[in-house]
Amino acid sequence: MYITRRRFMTAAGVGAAALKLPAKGQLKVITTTEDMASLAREVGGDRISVESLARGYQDPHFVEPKPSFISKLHGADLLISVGLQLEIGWLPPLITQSRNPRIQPGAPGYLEGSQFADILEKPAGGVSRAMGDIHPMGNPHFWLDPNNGRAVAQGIATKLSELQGADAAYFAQRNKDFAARLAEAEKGWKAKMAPYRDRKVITFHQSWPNFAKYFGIEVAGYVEPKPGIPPTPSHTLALISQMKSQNIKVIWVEPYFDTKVPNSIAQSVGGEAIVLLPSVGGVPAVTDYFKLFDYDGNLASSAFQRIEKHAS
Amino acid sequence: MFRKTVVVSLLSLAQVGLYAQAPDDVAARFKAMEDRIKALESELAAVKAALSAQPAAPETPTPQPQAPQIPMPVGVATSSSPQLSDATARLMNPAISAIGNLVGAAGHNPIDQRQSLQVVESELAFSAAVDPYARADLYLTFGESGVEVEEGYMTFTSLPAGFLVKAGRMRAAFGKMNTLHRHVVPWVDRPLVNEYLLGGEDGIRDTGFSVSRLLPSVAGIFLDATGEMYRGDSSVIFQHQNRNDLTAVGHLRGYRDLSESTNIDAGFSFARGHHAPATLDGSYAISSPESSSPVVVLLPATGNFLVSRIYGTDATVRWKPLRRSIYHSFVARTELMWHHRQEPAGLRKTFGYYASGEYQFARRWFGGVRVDQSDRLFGPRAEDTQQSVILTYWPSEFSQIRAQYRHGNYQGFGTSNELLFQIQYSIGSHGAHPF
Repeated sequence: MYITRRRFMTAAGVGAAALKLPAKGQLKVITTTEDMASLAREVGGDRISVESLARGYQDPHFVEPKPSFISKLHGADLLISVGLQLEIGWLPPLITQSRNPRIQPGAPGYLEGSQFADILEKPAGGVSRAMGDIHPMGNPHFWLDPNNGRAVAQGIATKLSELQGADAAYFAQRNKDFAARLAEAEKGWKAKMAPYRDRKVITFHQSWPNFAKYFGIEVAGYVEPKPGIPPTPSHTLALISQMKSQNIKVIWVEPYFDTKVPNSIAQSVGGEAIVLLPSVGGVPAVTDYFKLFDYDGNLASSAFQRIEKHAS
Repeated sequence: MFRKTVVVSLLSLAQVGLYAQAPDDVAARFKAMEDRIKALESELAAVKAALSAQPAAPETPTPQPQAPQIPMPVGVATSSSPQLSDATARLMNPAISAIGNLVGAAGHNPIDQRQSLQVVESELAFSAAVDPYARADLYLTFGESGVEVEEGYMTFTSLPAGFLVKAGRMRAAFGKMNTLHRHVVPWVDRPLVNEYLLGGEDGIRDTGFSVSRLLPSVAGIFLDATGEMYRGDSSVIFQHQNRNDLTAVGHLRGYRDLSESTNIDAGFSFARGHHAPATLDGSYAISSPESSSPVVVLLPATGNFLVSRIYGTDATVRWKPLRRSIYHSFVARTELMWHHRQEPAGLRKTFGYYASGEYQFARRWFGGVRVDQSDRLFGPRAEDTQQSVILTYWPSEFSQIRAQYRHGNYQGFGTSNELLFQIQYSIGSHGAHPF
């Protein structure tokens, strides 16, 4: 009887240990994008391991749900997604097939970054696919505003503390440090972009509302006639006409779109099409959240500078 | 909980003030709080907007599928406005989408006598989490001949030891094409081998259980093993005479990333089931209107049902450069099947395969080829071949237009040259992209 009970207790203990997260050691965090991964690294430090499913140079709307991702999700303690249906085409089947109860939607190990962010372009009225491949819950590219980056980092720190309470003070300290470094970096970014406040730009896709708002830039139109719809000749002609009449010279293009049409439009108006990065990892040098704004800020400001110098 | 958060936040602020921390830190904290307040305000505004947009609830509200599962506290039920309860019910609605599929055919084919124009199916799909432990998916197809449950199953996502269990009616995990719904098949038709040896459009699709588990990776190869048990009733392939005539299906899948752009996916499948000791009604040249599989008329069973075993292997190579993934991709795929069917005269062994390639040459354009070869499962022994060239245009992610030129050589029946075309659309909730 005693042996039976002891065996039972041992088995129960092993089972509980298997289900319970380790109090010490690294939490395994999987994120859908490099941006969420970078924010998680900032606050998680060496107490977590982080890996992103999508690369920074690929379109996060169209990631292939590879079986190798299932293996990664299977062992994850925490899954951080962007949310707002950005990953709706590929993440849900991966989560279902992950065989991991910890990261199922609603479970403690599932976190959407969007819940902490200020979301723009929320459709006010009814939505329809006639409006293109819109995101009915708002624009999901929220991380391109440092204020949202700060808020999401705070949310991740809270979640990490919830999952690994023993390191709560460590995560809080890292988050505080990140917020302070971000505030310092923001001064430089804003100073660099300040001369170009209120300038108008055209973007390929609707990836930039948060970035533009943060720097006081107005997005006046898009190369895509509607979200997710490739450029059409009539729309391109209308865009050229608009850019000429409003003296718009700059087009921002995401790295995963073909630059042929934007370059042609820019040439027609005597302007420039530049490839800005919506995500960390868009080019090898952009390895973290700070370098993303360094890179985009430098590129955007230098394009404005060149064009205005040329005009004068 | 909210009050607690506010109190904690205020205490934190007081501490900040008392210890006169760095101004940047205070500013950052205020900023973070401000951001959270903004988020809450916008969320509140969205909820208000949603509530004001709701029409008054009907006197007899339409019962929602999941509503009975959620016990509402009496106080809430009596004090809530009709708009609130209606909005709450809608929040619990499953994701719903509908798919329409129009298929046309021009030219002559002695075997496949599909009609010139046909809405081959309209599919309604519902999916949602049932509870924290499972999700449910239901696919209803409306064809010209009626309505049926194409698939309807529950997936238990929170099982221990890495198991994934599905229960219900589903497409069996045999090879690749058998698992795909008609609208995600990359051609207008299904390959000849699926039509002849695996039951055509219906394929192996039955009511039962599926258990799968990830196996330890070997040399970086993702391994997934699936075992399934069905009641034994799949189109012309499997039938059951009694409760013991079950169908068993097994599938082993291996997958490996060769690079970030290229991967290889290979599988082995096995199925064993029973069939009635059937005979053909007259000669072989009988086809169903929707399928090129010959119609089999089952005679009253006079003895034990016989056994069929099907073996299959499949391989897929995919290439998709991540930086230009929306513009270019390539998929090469093949499936080989061996169907061993006991017949009163002895064991009938048949074999068939297809090999295909599809290249995406622009954001919305795909071109492909496919070659088919398969023995016939019924009637006089014969081997048929087909060759197809396919062009697909996607006006958007939610519609596609496809044309397929198909040349066939059917032993004893002659050749065919056909143009098949297809128009598909998807409305409603955004579905997952097939892989």
